[in-house]
Amino acid sequence: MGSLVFCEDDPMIRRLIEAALGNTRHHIRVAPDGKACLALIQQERPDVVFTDVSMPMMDGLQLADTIRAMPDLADVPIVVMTARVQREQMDEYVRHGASDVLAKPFTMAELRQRVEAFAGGTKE
Amino acid sequence: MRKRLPGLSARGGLLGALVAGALAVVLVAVGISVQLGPADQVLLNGSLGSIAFLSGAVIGLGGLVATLVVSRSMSRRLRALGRAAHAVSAGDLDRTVPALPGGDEVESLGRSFNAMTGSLRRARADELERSERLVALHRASTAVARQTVRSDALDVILREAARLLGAGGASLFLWDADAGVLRRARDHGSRDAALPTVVAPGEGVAGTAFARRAIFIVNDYAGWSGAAATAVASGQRAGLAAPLLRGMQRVGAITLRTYDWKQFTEDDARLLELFADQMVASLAMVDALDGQRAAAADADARRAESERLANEMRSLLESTSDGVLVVDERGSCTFINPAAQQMLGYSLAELGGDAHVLLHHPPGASAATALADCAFVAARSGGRPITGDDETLWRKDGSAFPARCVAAPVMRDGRATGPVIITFSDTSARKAAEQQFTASVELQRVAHERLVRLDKAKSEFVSILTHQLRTPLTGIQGFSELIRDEDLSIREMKEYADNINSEARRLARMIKETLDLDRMAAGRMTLDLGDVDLNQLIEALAAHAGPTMRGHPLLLQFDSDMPRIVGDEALVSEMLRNLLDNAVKYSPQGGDVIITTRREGQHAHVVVRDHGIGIADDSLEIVFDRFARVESEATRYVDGTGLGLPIVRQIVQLHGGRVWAESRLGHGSAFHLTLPLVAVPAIASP
Repeated sequence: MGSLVFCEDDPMIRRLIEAALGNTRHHIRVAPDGKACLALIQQERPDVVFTDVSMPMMDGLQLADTIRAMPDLADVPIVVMTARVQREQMDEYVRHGASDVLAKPFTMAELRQRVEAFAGGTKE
Repeated sequence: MRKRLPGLSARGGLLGALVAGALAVVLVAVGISVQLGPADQVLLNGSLGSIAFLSGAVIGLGGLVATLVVSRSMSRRLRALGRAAHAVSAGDLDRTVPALPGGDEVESLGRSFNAMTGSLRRARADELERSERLVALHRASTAVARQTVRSDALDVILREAARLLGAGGASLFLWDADAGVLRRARDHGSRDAALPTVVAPGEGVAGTAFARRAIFIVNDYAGWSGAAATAVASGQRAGLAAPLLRGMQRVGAITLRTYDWKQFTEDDARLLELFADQMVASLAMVDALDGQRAAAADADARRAESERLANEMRSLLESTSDGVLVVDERGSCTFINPAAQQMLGYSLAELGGDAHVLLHHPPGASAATALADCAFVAARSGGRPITGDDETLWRKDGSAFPARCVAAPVMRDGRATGPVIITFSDTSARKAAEQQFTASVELQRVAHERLVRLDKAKSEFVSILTHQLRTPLTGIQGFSELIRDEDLSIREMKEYADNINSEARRLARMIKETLDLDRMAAGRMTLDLGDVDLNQLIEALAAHAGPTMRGHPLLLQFDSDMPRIVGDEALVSEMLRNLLDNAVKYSPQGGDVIITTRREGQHAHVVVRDHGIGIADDSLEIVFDRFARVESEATRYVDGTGLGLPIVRQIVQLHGGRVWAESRLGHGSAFHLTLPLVAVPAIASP
């Protein structure tokens, strides 16, 4: 059983993630922007953070920078979910401390594979 | 006594007459010998005179003989003598009297008569030879006088000399001072197979005469120590040579050869000297003629060459498109070519006085100053060409043109002689072209930069668009996968299908927006214009916006007196919906969204205000640019195509209105737009 935090401003994708992972043994928490996400992380340290890049208030990269700067949470894996996956953009994500990239649109298999990789099996 | 006396008297009278006749013959002979004096004094008149003298003597003798014949007491012998004398008087000088034996005066008279006729014969032969020589010399002189080419006279002289002096061959040798030898220039009739072409002074007959500067005669050639074997073999018997002397200078030698009995005499030698003189005269004339001819040919060639040069120069000056002027040290023009006349508008006459000032200095400049300042004049004193790439020349009509000028002083022996040749070309076309070129380069650079920017923006746009399209695609793909793969309740399935449907519509709207903006930007959008009640339109919009406005209370503040506007209702509605969406999107913390309408003159003024994050000052304009969104950090997180505001601006502009934004970062934004009202008759205020 893993703890996962998803940060995504698009309500439809949030709903999709909840629908896809809702019946797993993982503890799924979802935030609509970076600030809300940070609050969730600080509440309880997750096994992995999935974050969108383009978001209001605090975008995904600012969020990653903030996490990497927090002594207790600096080692939390961060998976960037984005449609922008050109080489320069990928380099930028890595520079900001991303552990992996989940390219939009992603399949449910791709989503689950990332979850398993960072938080263990998705089934009971 | 009387009988004897006539006889005696006749005999005595006859004797006296004979003595007188003999005396006359002697006188005639003396006259002839006198006439045969120095050869160079021989003249044709002299020859004629001596012949007359001879004739007189013969006539006198004839009279004497007639007296004898008439005498009744003359003897038979005397009659014979008389007949002979008669024949002689008639011109028969070959006549002799037979021997008249008797031991008396008659016999001695007969001998004397025969001696006399012999002398007469010799005198006549000499006279004939002399006249023949004179004629030959005359012929040679005439040839010299008439000669036009060297060979003519020289050949005539050589031939006449050989013929007259009875020589079988004759040669002319000329002195080659450079080589120090005599070279054979002409020959006439020589038989020697190995006739020398070159003879050293002192060698052979000719060389000896040349070396001695004197006539040289060899009458026993075979026995002569200087004889040439080949000449002896050819049969040469005698040789005669005379040097050719021009003053003190030796110019050559003329030599004659005989192949028969003929021996050369001192007379022959003197005659050859005459021919030698003719030869020298002829050579001098030939030299003079040659010199004259060469000088004339040279002058012709130089005249032709200078004419050719002048022609070339004229063609050159007339054909060149460059202006060419010659300006003297006072600045006066002394030459102007057609191109310069055309460019300047002046003729040569008009530039006679102070051309330099007229051409090279603005109207009104003083001549003295101008001259002192002028680089062209300096070219003369400097002694070398001066080039002015950016000179100004003034036309007759007072206008000026930029010119490239080269001023070159006319030089002679390394010194400037005074005049300066100025060539110039009108560079205004070139300058204009240069400016045009620079301008077009700048234009191209700007266009290129714009293209580069546009290209970058376009690829950014494509990147954004595909990103934005992928967001709804993620939902569509994900939910359809769940429906396919998971065991779902009907309720879940319906919910997921609804999600897919809404994402598909979102996708469709994005595509439509993109295409709309493209059409509007390209001017292909046509408006369906009508009267639109703005307040009513906004109310309807607000009613439908409800579900998307969660957390954003919508306040409407209308000007109740708002007239209708002219517009395309669907587009105006889309524009307002975009502004409303934006207000919500940029107010993640919630807060009121206020829409205000107000009439301002002939326009309706609409403001959509939010309490969101606001926009940085430097981005207030950019947000309306198509593709501009990613260029601003402030708007980088915003979802959607990023085409909302660009679409708003396009629609407002299509309606003839204006849109702009005001904002305080962190406190919210206000989007203003104006739209033209339906034209209504002005109503006077109460």
